[in-house]
This record gives sequence, C-alpha cells and structure tokens, in this order.
Amino acid sequence: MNAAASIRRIDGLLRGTVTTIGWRELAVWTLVAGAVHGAVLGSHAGRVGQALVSASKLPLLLAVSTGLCLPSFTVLHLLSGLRDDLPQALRATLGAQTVFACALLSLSPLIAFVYLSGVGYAGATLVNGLAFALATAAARVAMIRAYRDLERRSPRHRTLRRIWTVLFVFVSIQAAWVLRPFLGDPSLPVQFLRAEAWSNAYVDATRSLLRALGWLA
Amino acid sequence: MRELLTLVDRALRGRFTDPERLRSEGVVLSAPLAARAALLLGGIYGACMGLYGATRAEDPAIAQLIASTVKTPLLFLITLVVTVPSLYVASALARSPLDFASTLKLLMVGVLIDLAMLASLGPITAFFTLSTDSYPFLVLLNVAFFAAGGLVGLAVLRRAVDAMFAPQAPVIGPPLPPGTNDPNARRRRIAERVFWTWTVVYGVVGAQTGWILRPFIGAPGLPFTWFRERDSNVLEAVLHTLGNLFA
Repeated sequence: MNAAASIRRIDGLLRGTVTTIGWRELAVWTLVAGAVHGAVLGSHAGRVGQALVSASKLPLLLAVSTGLCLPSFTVLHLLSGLRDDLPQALRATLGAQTVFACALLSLSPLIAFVYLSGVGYAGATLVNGLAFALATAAARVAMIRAYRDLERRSPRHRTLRRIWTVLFVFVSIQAAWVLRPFLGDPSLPVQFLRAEAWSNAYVDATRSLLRALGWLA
Repeated sequence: MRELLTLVDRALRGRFTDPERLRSEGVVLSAPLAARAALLLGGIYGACMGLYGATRAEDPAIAQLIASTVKTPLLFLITLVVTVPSLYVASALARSPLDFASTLKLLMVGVLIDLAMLASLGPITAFFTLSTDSYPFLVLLNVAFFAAGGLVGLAVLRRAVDAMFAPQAPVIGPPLPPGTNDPNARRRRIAERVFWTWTVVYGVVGAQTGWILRPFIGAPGLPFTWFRERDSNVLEAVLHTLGNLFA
C-alpha cells in the first residue's frame, strides 16, 4: 500500500469525496488509528502497561461490535431487496468507523497534552469522554454523507442506516463495558479486564440511577 | 448445506413471495428442505439462547444448550403443524387462490424469514449472554429479538397475502358511480381479514407452544429440566403477572 496515496484517499474519505476505498485499507486504518489512540488514552500517569493494554483493546472494541452486527445487517438488506447495494452499504459503515478512529487519532496529541499538563483521573475521564463524543459525531457525519447516494436510490437505505446505528451503539456500549478499563484508575493495578467485567452495562447504569434517586437500597 | 443456504437466500430475497409468480405458479418451494432450513436457523438461535443455562455460575447445565437448540425450531414447526389446517380453511373461505400445499409453503416461508432474522441476531444474544449475569435483561432482550423476527416475518406474509387477493388484471373502464361496492376495496378488506386471522391464530398458539416447551434460557436457582410442569397456560400466566404487578 502506497502510504502517500492512502493518506490522500483517507483525506477524501473525511471530505466525503472518495467512497471507493478497499475493505482492507479501511480495516488497516481503523485498527492502526484505533491502536495509536488507545495507547495515548491508556498512557495517563505514565502507565506503559495500561497504554499497551488499551492499544490492543480499542481496535478489538470496534472489530467485535462490527462483527456482531454484520449478520443482521446482511439479512435486513436481503429482506429489503437491497442485496446489490450491500457492498456499498458495508463500505459506508466501515468508512464511518475509519473516520471515527481517525478523528480519535487527530485528538490524541491534544489528549497527550492534557495528560502532560498534569490533569487528574476525573479530568482525564472527562476529556476522553469528550473525545469519544466528538469522534462519534464525525463518524455520523461521514455515514450520512456516504449514504447520500444510497438513499437517493432507495429511501429504505435510510431506515437500514438508522437500524445499524441503533444496533451498533447498543452492542458497542456493552462491548466497551466488558472491555473496560481503557483509561485505568491509577490507584488500581493494570489489568486487561476488570474482575467484575462480566456484568451488564444497561442493568448497572439503571441500578446506579435508581440508587442515586433513592429508589433502590 | 449449500442448498439450505440457497433456499434461505431466495426466501429472504422474496423469490417465493413475488406477486407475479405467486399468482401464476403458487409457492415453488420444497417443504422438507424448508423444514431442514428452519431446524438449522432455529437451532442456531436456540444455541445462543441456551448458552445462559450452560454457562451460569451456579449449577451450569450443558443440557440446557442442547434443549434450547432443539426446542427453538420445534416451537415454530409445532405451531405451524397445529395451526395450518385452520389457517388454510380461513383462507379458502375467503376464496384464496392458493391450495393447501401452497398455503403451507407460504406460511413456511414466513417462518423461515422469522428464523433467519432471529439467527442473524444470534451473535448479539450470545455476546450479551456471555457478558451479563442479569437474567431479566436476557429475557427482555430475547423477547425484543423474537418480536423483531416476528414483525419481519409478518411484513413479508402481509405483502404475499395482499398479492394473493389482488385483482388478476387492471380494471379498465369508467369510474364506478358513488355508492357502488368497489371490488378492489372488497378484496383488500378480505386480504386484511385473512392476514389478521393468520396472525392472531398463529400468535396465540405460538405463545402457548412456547409456554409448554419452556425453559429456553434457564432461570437461575432452578434445576435444569427438559420441560417445566404443565400447570397453567400462557394467558393465565400473563394475567397472573399483571395481577402481581399492581397488587
């Protein structure tokens, strides 16, 4: 892969002018950008171990969430009579993830700068939350752009895009919960998964909310 | 295996429910092959559902995995066998152009699509099953996925029923005077009635079959059994639960 040409194609992907990047190239960019950002994300308080762990977990999070949602996305395309558009739709969804990873990568120097200025654990969590929110917004813009041509051909693509978004967010929140910690509390030892990893993000969040409201002991 | 996947692919692409083909040739489908495809797809989802019982911390039971793999496709096929005579009579009374075999095959297409949707959601079920310890969450997730599969299957059947009762040739002529019964509107009403009869009969029998065949997930704290005691019916259980909710 010619690096300069590949960077130009990713530039086109960000601008919404290039929609024909190959699967492998998109996957490589997503995994590499995700890993680099993961390493920066985990390097808070100079913890090399956590940086290595997070570098491997961020690409894993994207790959697992995509893999789990692909079968139903394919079946829905067959059912909607949009089988012929499936490769383009998949490229659009994968492209959105590449944009997500690249947006995170672009924010990595900022995150490193914030870490180096001595921000605490709570501040680091907030900054990373903001970075994820910004990258998600960038991915959404890219997805809508990439789907413009598909939606012009059939309005059913808009429904499928929305179903993909809901399903992907639903699965990736749980995947991120299971794969936590990404940042790592400096007072705890570095670990790949938390001991209590195998729990449910939605149930735990609801429980915390009910407890905060005083409706649950 | 390849021919099973081809069959599922054709069903999903609407080859068996194409309006033109439905009217001219009926449903061109091998029923035994469709039953095998249903066993495969239902088995995939059943295995994902049964993982909970097989991997739970207390008293894990591999038998739950096997039981759910076998019982999920059976749930759909038993319901079909029990309801198909009455569904056929209901549609024949409404002058459906499909004979018994074609009606059965059309309903099998609906079941196949429902199961294909479920099987495609199987990896997500398995992921949540393996990563969560909350039994009520899993019950709700499975109910949501079964509802999604059912809705997709029903949408396809709805189109097929509309096509069956659609006029054979476009009516050419002056518009009907007001007050005259429009034959197309009458056909649409009949199609709607047939579709809802099918939906209600299959839905109610399906719910009861599911109740008889339970457990599918395996509640924590209860030992594994192939079937629970047949002490009530699903409607009674729902009313009982509602009663408890507001008690």
